[in-house]
Amino acid sequence: MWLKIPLRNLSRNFRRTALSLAIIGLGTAMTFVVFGFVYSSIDIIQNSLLGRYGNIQIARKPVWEENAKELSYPISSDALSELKDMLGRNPEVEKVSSQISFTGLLLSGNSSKPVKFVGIDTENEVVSYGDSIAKGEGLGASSNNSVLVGESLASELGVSPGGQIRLIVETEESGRTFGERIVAGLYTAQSEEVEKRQVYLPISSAQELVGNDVVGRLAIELRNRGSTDRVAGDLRENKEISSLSLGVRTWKQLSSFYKMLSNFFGLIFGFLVVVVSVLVFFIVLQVLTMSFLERIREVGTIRALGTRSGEVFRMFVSESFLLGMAGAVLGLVFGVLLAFGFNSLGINWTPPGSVEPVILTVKMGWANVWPPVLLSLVATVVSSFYPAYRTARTDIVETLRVEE
Amino acid sequence: MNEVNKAPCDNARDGFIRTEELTRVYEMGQEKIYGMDEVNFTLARGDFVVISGPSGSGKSTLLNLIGCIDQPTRGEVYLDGKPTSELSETERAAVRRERIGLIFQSFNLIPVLSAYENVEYPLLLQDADREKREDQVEELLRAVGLEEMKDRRPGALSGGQRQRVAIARALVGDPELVLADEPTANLDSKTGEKVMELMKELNEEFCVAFLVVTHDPLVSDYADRKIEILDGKLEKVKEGSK
Repeated sequence: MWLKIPLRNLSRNFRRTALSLAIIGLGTAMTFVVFGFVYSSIDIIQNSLLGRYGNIQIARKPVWEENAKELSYPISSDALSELKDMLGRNPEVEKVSSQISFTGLLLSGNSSKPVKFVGIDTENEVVSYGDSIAKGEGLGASSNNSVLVGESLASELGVSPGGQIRLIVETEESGRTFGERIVAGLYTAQSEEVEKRQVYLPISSAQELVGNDVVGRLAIELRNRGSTDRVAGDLRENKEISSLSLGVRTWKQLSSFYKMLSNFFGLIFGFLVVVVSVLVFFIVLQVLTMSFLERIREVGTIRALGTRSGEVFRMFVSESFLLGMAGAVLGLVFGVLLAFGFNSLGINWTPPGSVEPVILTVKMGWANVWPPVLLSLVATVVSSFYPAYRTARTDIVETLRVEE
Repeated sequence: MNEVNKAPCDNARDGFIRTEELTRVYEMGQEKIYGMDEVNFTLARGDFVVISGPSGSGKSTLLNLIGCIDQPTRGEVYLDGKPTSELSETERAAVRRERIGLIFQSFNLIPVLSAYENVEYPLLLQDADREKREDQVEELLRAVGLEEMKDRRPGALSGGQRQRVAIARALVGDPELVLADEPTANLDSKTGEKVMELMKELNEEFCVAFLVVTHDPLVSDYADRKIEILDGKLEKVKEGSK
């Protein structure tokens, strides 16, 4: 009965219930779509950042400072093999790859460009050398004499796959070194800056250029992205790592851009949650107040029959809970339809600083189902508290005097 | 109905309800209006008492005070010798739920519930089990002649049928006292008579005390005792004819 009465009361005034459902549903659908869009964007960014940093990196701490020269803070080959052994025994680690980077010049014909050479472990790739190979081939086991150049840089230098380029590297340890390499392929990246500046080559080839077998950092890929913080914490506690004076950082710590973006999205989330909650709260408050006051005489009757005011309050709150649930379910259905519609349009957008457009999508998953449902439910139920309390506590004699 | 109420009513004049100097004052700004003015009154189990008087004389106020719906400004209502003013809000609700049945002038049925569910409602408040609820609701709907219409909602019933549902609802929780406020006011004379006969029958069969407020001379004919009330004071008490 405690559910039957609220349920039947909802079907009593169809227009009012429909209005409430429309408001709650719209709020839910809006939140679902916006959350889905933001989650989808965050996913793209996270994947891109994981491709750039791996889940976790191990290096000497100054390496992560701006304009730091990795070669000045090397990890020796002995330390590297020790670390690789230790990480190889960790069941949560999928791949480990070493990396070294240094600056130099890339020359083709009469053109030259300052670049950052990044030596990567081509056989055990964690950090990708680009989101995709646009032309030619990637780097493989037999690519010791090859480099991978960003499409934008290749266009500036006028080089193409199969072409030859010259490299000049100057280090404190080995002075100025020259080399010649073949362009294996051209890569594209989300960031134009990366495409114009970074040149990838096998780590052995990079070590040969600088005349040293050291590496600058280790990038680790985990089997599960969600365990990044925990594994990083364990590694920080690891004695071998501390004895080598090495630091451990997660991809989130390495990307200041992600921190800014998270804060920005957090702000959007917060703003949206507040706006939707306030809208749902006040509109439903008004509708429920009207609805409850219209039934004041019935409240007087059931209280005169011996229903406690707390039970009346519970009845009204149950009604708003049912209303909130129904509105949230309708909103989700509407939101999913909207998301399908939006995703089918295939709208793409090129973010500032990027060369490749990304397809804008609305992600549909549990992560963006429960927040709008919870939001609508809480806003609706909370909005019923005051009118329910006021109606339930009204003097019985007064309520019985109200004309039908 | 439980055994106590089903037992033949020996009409032991035990005065299970007694009022003492019962006073209810309403304050309208500076003005004080006496809705009830030092009323002393006793009601025994199985009594059928009719209260009459002009509008605003205090009839409904007396019902509200005795029914633990309202609280006196001064004086006391004793239920089985215990002062009701000492009861908490929850205890007063329990008294209404367990011991009192109410019949309203405008029936006051819950519109979203069927006739059956309206009658069942007080039993749900009493946490009665399903079997007991079914037995008692069916029995009372049969007693008021509405067993065929049990699934209809109040909107689909005539005034007389609604009032009969209200009577069944008032009696279903095995109350010791039924308070009826103008039970025939919204009924035609023929239906009103039927309703009164039903109430009287239930009063005699189940030994339930009835305190009926009315303007209707027809209702007064059913009373064991008639009380007239004027300006919040009891004026006359007469023994009834039926």
